[in-house]
Amino acid sequence: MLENGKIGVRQLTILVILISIGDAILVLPSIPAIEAKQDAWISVVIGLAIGLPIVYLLTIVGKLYPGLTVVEYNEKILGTWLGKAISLFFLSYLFFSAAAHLRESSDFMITNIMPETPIMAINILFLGIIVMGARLGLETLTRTAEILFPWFILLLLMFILFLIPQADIKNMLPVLGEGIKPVIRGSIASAAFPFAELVVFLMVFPYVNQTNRIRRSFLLGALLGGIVLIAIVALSILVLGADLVARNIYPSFFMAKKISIGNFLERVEAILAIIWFISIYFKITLYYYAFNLGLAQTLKLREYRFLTLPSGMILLLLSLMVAPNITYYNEVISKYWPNLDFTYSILLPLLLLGVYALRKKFKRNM
Amino acid sequence: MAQQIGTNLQENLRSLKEAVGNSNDIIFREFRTGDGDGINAAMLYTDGLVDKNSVQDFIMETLLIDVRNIDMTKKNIADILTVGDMQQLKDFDMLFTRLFSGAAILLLDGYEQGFSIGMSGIKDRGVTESSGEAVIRGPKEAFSESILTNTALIRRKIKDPNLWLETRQIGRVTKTDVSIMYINGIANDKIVEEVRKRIERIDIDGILESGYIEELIQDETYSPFPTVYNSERPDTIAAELLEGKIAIIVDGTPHVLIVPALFISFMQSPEDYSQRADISSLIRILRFLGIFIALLGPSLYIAITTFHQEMIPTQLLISLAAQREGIPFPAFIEALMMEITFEILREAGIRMPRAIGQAISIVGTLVIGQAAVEAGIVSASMVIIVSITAISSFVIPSMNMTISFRMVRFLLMGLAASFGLFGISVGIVALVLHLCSLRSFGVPYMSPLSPFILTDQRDTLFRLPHWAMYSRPRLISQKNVIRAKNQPPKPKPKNSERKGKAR
Amino acid sequence: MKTRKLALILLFVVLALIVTGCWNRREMNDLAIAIAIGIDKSGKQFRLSAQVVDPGEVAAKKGGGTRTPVTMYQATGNTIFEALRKMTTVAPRKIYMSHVRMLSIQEDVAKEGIGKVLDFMSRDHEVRTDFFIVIAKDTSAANTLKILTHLESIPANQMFSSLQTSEQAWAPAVTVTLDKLIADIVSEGKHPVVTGLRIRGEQKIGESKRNVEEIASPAQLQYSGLAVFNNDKLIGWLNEEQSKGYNYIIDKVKSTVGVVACPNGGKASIEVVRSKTEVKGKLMNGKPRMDVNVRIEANVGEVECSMDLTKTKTISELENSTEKRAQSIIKMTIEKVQEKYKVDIFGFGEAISRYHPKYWKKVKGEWDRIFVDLPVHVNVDVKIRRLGTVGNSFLEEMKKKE
Repeated sequence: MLENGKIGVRQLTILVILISIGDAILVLPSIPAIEAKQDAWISVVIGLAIGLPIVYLLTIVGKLYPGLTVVEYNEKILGTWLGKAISLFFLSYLFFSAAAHLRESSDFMITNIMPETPIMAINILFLGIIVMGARLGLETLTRTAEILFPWFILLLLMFILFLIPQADIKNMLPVLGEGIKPVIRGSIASAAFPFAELVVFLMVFPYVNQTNRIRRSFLLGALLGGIVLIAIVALSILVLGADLVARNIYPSFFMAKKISIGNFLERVEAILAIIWFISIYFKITLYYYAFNLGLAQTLKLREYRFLTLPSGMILLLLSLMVAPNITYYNEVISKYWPNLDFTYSILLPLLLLGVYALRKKFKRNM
Repeated sequence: MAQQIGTNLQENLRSLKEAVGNSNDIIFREFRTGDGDGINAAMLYTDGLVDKNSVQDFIMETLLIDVRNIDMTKKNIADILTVGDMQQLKDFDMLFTRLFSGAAILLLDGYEQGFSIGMSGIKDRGVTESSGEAVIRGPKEAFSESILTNTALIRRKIKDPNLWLETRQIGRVTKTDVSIMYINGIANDKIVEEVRKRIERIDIDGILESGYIEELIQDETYSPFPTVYNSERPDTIAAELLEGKIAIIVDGTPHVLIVPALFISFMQSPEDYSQRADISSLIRILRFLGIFIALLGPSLYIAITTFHQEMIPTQLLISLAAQREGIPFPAFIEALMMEITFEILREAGIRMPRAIGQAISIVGTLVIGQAAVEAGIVSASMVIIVSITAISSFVIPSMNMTISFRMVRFLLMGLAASFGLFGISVGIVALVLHLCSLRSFGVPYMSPLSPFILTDQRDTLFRLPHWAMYSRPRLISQKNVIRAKNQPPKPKPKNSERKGKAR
Repeated sequence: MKTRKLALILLFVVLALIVTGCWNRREMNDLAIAIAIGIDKSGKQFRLSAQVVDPGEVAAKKGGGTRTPVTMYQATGNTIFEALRKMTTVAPRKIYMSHVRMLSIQEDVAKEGIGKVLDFMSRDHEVRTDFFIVIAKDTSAANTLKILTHLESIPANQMFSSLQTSEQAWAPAVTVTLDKLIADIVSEGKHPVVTGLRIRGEQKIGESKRNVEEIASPAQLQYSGLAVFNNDKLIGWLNEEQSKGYNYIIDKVKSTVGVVACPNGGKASIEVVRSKTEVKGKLMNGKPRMDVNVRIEANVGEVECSMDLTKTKTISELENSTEKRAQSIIKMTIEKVQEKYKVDIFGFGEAISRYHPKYWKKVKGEWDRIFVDLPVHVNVDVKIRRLGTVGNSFLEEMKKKE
């Protein structure tokens, strides 16, 4: 086995919550708000409704071969060569995702907090702990998540509580004033970013302790993550109004700037940025870890850790090349990325299930 | 193979004298004993290690006077001597070990073995008050340098046959007694076996302190964090043994090691268990706050004042900026200077003779702090930050952990100076990753926080009343986790009320 | 393996230490903390003025020094950003914008549109959105930043807290922050208003230390009236009473004082302690109609006439007259705006859009035209709760004696 660690189901839930919140907490409010305006929160509710079946589908596929990762049973189901090819496509998707998220987070840092720092320096530093996390393995990574999770929740609650006084219900009216169509359009991204991207857990399932409780905790994690996102989107609309949410690149950060409790608790957004830092870190690291593990499994290597340094360097360069400027990045993210997400979270599982069923039938007929 | 003791006494004595190089603190007393002409015998002991009076009264007197009519060649020597601790010796290695542990050695002509008679009279410092881990409420006694005193102190607290002790000599030259102590049935057998294996693997010429053992058996060398706990308090050790941990007692040092050590045990003081539960819980929270300040104080100050000035309220920013007017160094260098000055003062304070140490360190801090501010080298706010940090770092009960955090603090300051809060966040994630990757004898270092174990939370960040802490830490003692079935106390109705009714 | 890892970590640390000193690091004493910004026109260009704190002077331990607590730098440029950077030609340090409390915009700039000014403010990461925006009336924005003030040694702080307190306790002023202003400009159903700021007294003396050496400062900053905007262009002013009416409608009144006539002649002051306004848009036969319901809780603050406050009837009479007074203020304000400025500054359009989105979709392009003839029903309900510490005024007794 390449990975000796085991994680518990509660740890799995925590990881799912963190990853479904991931970068979505930062960029999600504005993407549906562009389409659905003040109904963006309904978009996210619909996104959750679309997302949960996808998540369910993932657990079905995950149960086919309980001890194996998707990369391993790809070859069992589709045959060695086709399986390897599909695996490589899947892995490159993970890798690109990691690069894109890395770029997203450093863009955020540069825009809002440290405009004069070179992106390279921020990426190198961030990549340092990403590689470190991936090398230490899944178990350590999950334990770290477990330690940081209470802080994450604490800061998140502070964030929400401090903003409630500024919420204005008028900003949410009228409900469905533009009809349902823009709301549906907005829900595509809200289903893709938090939920479809959970496909990475197909690489994690075999390392969970109690196989029979995976589905429950996985769905629970996605649901809780979804609820947090709904709360964040709803809150950003209540506080800022649909127009500002749609116009801002990072609405939730802008919202954090508005916190002001009794003239002394204000200007705390840099502290609250830790929320985004934690969730994005775990998302990138898990993607990156899954990529290295999967690559080692596809190539039948005995170790994955030595892959991490070279692939980290490639990741660094890729994150710089993935987009020439932020406008390009935002356009690609909101328009094309969901398609990629859905390809791997819906088509791939369906393909695997279909071929698996056919094989079973075929075998029985023999 | 060690040289065997032969039947010829003279030959034995010659090779012994040769072996010790005629050192004059080894006393050789030759005499004849038994009826008639008797047989040749020799008494050996190390001057200063044995109790001379006992040797005189119980051995020499018996052998020279009481046994005049007894044929020593037939009678078993063990039946003659009125002493308790007596062992047979086959070879010279064993002989020397016993000789230098404070035993008197009796060699008889014609015998194939020698006899070691425990007569240890090593001058001990005695049981004194603990200097490193002071408490207000709780036992004051501390271990001393003698292993026998130390094991006795523990035995006195745990009177159970299952308190097992395994002793072996370690150190090619020093042959130091090292004992493993655990409660059979509570301690995890796998961990006991692992400790045994690691201790047996040790090959070193000398063990002078338990720190030697610690470095040779710990899981991770390149980590600022200690994965072996040590204490000089018998009550702490007894409490840890009851939790299923294993004590390693080394002769010659009052510091007893405890494995497996968890991060959280370094944050707990023995006093937590003698104070009231609610107070101890609050104090534990205070300690975590202290760690937080000690770890992040200067780095947060650097990050906020040089990267995130928008976070500072306007009035405060203006007054901070006014303090900094004319200070030539960047905040990071300023902080580094002050921190290093403090570390030097602290170290000097320990090394200096006790009488002047404390005074000098206080005066040094004051004078240097005040003068530096007035000379415009550092700002007053920086002095405040550095002193708060320094004081906070001492709320951690364990000195080992204090030093670890102080070290990490410098790394975080560097990160804060180059990347602001982002750098600090990166540093903290790296720190937590590292802490989570550590294990102490197979037990995750951060447990029971991560992996989170609900039942162990009774005694982690909080301390519940003793009646509620009925289980032992799950990952350490895996077979016998229930301590007791105590019920919360149910006080009877007030006495005065009942009396009142009777009247 | 382990040593290599350690070496790598050390390398990182060393690298991090080496790179210290560049990028975003700014020491606090390298900042020119801008506390107020003024924007004027200078030909076709902008003239930017920054009121910058002199920390050594403000935080001086004993007494004041000889320097003023703040200084001002000015620069002109084609855009705000250009002017700001050009300012380094006169300022020794880079202007730091995060602590700006006030943005003062000259009336003439506002007449041409403040949109251009605001984009930079909302885009720059250093600028926060929690400062107040005011319009310098009958003077230049730069002048308003030059007046020295008592109590608060930093003039911008004085401007900031003065605006805040007068909004809370007097009502005819509104605190407008950047994000609110932008939201109002973009909104299709509302036009913005901004409080006006003028200088009372002699400008010249106000600029010198003499201004704070006298008990009654010869020159003072005063808020007066609200500037009405059509989108981002200033088109006129509301006077004090209309400003109060405006604040009633947008539910911004926290506390104020209203003077009403007593039933038997004379005056009484009513202290409004709580006020809640609900604006509802209704459609009647396809025509919009607004209902403005104001609920006021008040205390009697001052009585300069004879009336018997111990009778409930007097109280209800007082309530009635207060209601009428408030109603007339509000109505008059609405009529004035409808007649003179013809822009919906009250957010009636937004109210309509919330409850009648379909209708709103049809009319939003021509809302301002509809607004001019929009029927508005104002309904004020006043409850007088307390009389202060005395019951009947001693004036009553005085009169009896006579």
